[in-house]
Amino acid sequence: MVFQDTNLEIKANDAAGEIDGWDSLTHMTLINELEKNFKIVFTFEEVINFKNINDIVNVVSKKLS
Amino acid sequence: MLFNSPQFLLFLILVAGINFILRVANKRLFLLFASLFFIGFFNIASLAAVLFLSGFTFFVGSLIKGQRTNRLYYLALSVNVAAIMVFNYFLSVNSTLRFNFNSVDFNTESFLLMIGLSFYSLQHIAYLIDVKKQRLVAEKIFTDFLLYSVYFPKFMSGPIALHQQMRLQNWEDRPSGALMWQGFNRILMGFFKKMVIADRLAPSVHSIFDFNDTLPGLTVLAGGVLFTIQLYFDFSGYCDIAIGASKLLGIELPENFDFPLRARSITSFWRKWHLSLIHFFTTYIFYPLSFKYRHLKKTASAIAVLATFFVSALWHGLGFTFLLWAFCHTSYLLVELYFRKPNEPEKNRFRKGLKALSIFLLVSFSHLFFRSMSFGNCKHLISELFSTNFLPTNWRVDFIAPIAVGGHQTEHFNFLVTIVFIALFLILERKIFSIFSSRAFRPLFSFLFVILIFLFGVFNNGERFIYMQF
Repeated sequence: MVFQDTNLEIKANDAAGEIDGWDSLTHMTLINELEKNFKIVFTFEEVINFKNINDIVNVVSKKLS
Repeated sequence: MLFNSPQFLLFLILVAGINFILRVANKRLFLLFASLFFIGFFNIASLAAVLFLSGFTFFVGSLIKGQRTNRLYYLALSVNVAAIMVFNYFLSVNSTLRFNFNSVDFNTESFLLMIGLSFYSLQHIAYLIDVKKQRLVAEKIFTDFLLYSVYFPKFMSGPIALHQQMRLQNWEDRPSGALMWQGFNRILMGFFKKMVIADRLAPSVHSIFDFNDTLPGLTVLAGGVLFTIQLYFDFSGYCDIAIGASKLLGIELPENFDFPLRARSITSFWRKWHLSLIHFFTTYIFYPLSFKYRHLKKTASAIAVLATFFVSALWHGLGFTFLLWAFCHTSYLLVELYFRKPNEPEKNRFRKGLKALSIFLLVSFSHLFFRSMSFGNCKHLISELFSTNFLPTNWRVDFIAPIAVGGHQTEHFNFLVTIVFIALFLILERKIFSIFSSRAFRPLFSFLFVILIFLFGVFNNGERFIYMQF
């Protein structure tokens, strides 16, 4: 949704620059969608340290558990 | 001591030589004194300002803890912002230094005083914020803090290196032969970009921009294109010299450019152009704002883009022309934010080239504002660009003359050679870059570039670097 590409395949180590459409302009939109879907709240420090999908998955799963 | 002056070369050879043979324990102090000498050589007032600003920032940084030091923290931030404003605006207002191509005409006093402080103060601001947000432990030793702030290869115009980056360097190690050779070649590449390309284009750009002549639209557009090329080769050449000089001392500075003129979107252009400044703005302005308003979705990014470019315009200078330049890029980015579909990986080379060309032209258009001497000058250029006579009626007089002759361009053959080098660089820069760092070609590269610089370089008018004014 965020990246407007329904066929997008994402791997754990994909970094921000490697996924087309994921850049600093769309980063916070992604964060907002994750917060809404998982009903969690990120801190700013967490968000700016997200370098790849794996980082996000780790923080989200930690918050959910 | 400009990078393209004989004094600097002598200074660098001496410092690199002593640094190489010096004992481990004395290296940091030696590089600190070399850097302070470098600044003091310009102007003793600059040195005094630097010692005061660094001393105060270090002092406040070591005190920042919790809410009680809030006032002191904001005072230190304000002092550093004020330093940028004082040195960037007030001391340069009366000087005639902007893009003047006769180096003797500079109002040297005010020019030299402001050198470096706007780049240097940004690093202090980042340091204070990072310590306050507990992303960084405050420096304990003042001389180390001072060295990271004033380290001479990056002092004048960057690349902006934050304290956490400088702290991680191997200050104690003796630089390896391979690194020093890399550094030497990088410096040559910088001189080549500056003397063979940027300085050769300077008179053409000057003749199109600075005389309020009646010119056909195409010539004005060519002026924008030539200035974009001049700015890129001037500033990336400067950074090559800074990064190369630092490698000679065994310290790796961050890269500042990633082949930006081949970008196929404006978003991607800003991921490749003046990286260290963009990193600063993204971390300290763009992300905090877009995070704060993230519930507004794309509007949050739009607000953050607007604020970031507004600050960037103010940082570049107090002028309506910089605001228009910022407005231009904000509009481009907003169009891409709202309307751009993600790209299928483009395989067609022709379409790839066409995309890159259109982005290059959009950037060149924005540079008409950036380079204009005044708002009136800028209005004149834009009205010429959109006037009814876009194509020149007399090509020799209205197009070739301002570009190739311009009243100043005397070595026509060298100018043509420069055009060929520009084409080669724009198409093959990545390849040239990888060849020059490969072991087998290193000596050949050094030999070839020394010859090319002496054959085709501009030696007599020694343009100063464009980004020194910011």
